[in-house]
Amino acid sequence: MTYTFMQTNARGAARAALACACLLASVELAAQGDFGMSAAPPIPGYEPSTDPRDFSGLWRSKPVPGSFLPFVLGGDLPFTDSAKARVEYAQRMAAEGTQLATPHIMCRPTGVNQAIGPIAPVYVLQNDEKMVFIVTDEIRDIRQVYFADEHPEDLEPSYGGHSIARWEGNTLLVDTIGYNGRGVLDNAVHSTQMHMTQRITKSADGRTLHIEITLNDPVTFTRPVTLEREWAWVNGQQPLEFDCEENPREDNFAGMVFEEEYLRPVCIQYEGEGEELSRVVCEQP
Amino acid sequence: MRSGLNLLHGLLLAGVAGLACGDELGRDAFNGVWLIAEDTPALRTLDGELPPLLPEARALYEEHLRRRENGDTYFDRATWCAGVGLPRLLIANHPFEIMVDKRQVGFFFEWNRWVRLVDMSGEELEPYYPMSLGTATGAWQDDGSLVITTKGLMHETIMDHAGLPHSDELVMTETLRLIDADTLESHIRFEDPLTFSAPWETKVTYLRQHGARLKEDVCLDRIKQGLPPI
Repeated sequence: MTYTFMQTNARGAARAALACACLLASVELAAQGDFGMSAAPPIPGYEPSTDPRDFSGLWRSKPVPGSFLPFVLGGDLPFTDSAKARVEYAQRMAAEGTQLATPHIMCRPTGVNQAIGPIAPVYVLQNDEKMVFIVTDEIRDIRQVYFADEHPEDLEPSYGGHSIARWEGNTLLVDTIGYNGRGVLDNAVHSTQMHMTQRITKSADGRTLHIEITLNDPVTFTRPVTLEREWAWVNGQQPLEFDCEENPREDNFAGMVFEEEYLRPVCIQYEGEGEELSRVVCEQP
Repeated sequence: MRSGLNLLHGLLLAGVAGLACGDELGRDAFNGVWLIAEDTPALRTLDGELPPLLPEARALYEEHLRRRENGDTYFDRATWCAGVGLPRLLIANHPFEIMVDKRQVGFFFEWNRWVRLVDMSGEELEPYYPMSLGTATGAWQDDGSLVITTKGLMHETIMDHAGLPHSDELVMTETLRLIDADTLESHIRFEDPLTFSAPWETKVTYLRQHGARLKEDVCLDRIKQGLPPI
């Protein structure tokens, strides 16, 4: 969560305090059985549709029994030896107080993690061509899910992969492949072979999405992993904004271990005095 | 009599053509990927003039011009991939997609995956705090156009690539109108009493990008490859 504190100026400090408070609130809410940001001002007048094929609106992940945050999967997953070694290494480094530079912390799209367990509200926009899952707060993530039977042949690998969907009755079947292998999954990364499927069904009252997620990645897991999540309808809220790259403060990177060259920061904000306050310096690669 | 019929016919055709420009195309016709028609590195008024900057703002603008000319881009937060905000994303040479939904109109900007959600509830929303994309509310008009009012635009961003400054008081009102199925026109009005001596307007035209889909753009990865941030 280092990114939450990448703020420096007066307004940034206020935002950071807000983000911090919201994060703490989220943690508290999580403990109480409720996730998500509560700071966004409400917008009255929004009601959920009871159309089982209309997911548009605002949702947030319900708490997951036995899990601190909805994207934390736990250590008892059927990891392959290499993935298990990676997870244990990350846990050991964390226990020693060393921060590993992950794509998530270094402002890259979060891919699978965000799809499994967003900790901020998710806006869903929908039309005949596609459904888009949008998170603007706490992290910025856009997942476009196209209504189609097949993925394109010339798929360009990406952090978030490529998603298609079709209806099976009133259950939406989402199929995602095409990951670039840099996406984040809990305490580890996953491979380019990740294949995520989701079965999403809306409750009759329109207030809950039941989501079954299957992760199939033979490089990471010895067998497919299936998770269940529920998202609850949220009344309208003003979309807030999260700008991870805004203040690349020097102290955020101090002591951080960069195992991948691409994650090393290009621009660093140095704290000075007087007119030199918040000076950003970039070194072109 | 023939000429009268011709006139009537002409009026009818004009009426149909008029409808086809707005109402008849319908709201869903706004859906799609759009790209600005002309390179617009610097915003100008409808008369092609420099916006009416107040002296202090003009001095800052000229400083930005000087610094960019000297290769110093640190006044421009695009340098380190921070959000460049509005209206700059609307005039950048990067495509964006509009998606019309019942509750919101989404603008998906390819540049670094920014998304703008325009609330269509009809509620007056006061900005919670200034943000790069501000707080936007929209309303469909009888003529088929979409009017979007954006407040709470944070002053740390610049309005265009050249470096036009603004304050947190900036209010941006866009009137988006389909000229035809593949041409979208936006009249944008700017009011910012701390920066400009009077409100001013500009016009931007976008062309539909048939068959295009937005790519996952990661600015930090791009500058790692030695490419420009924007």
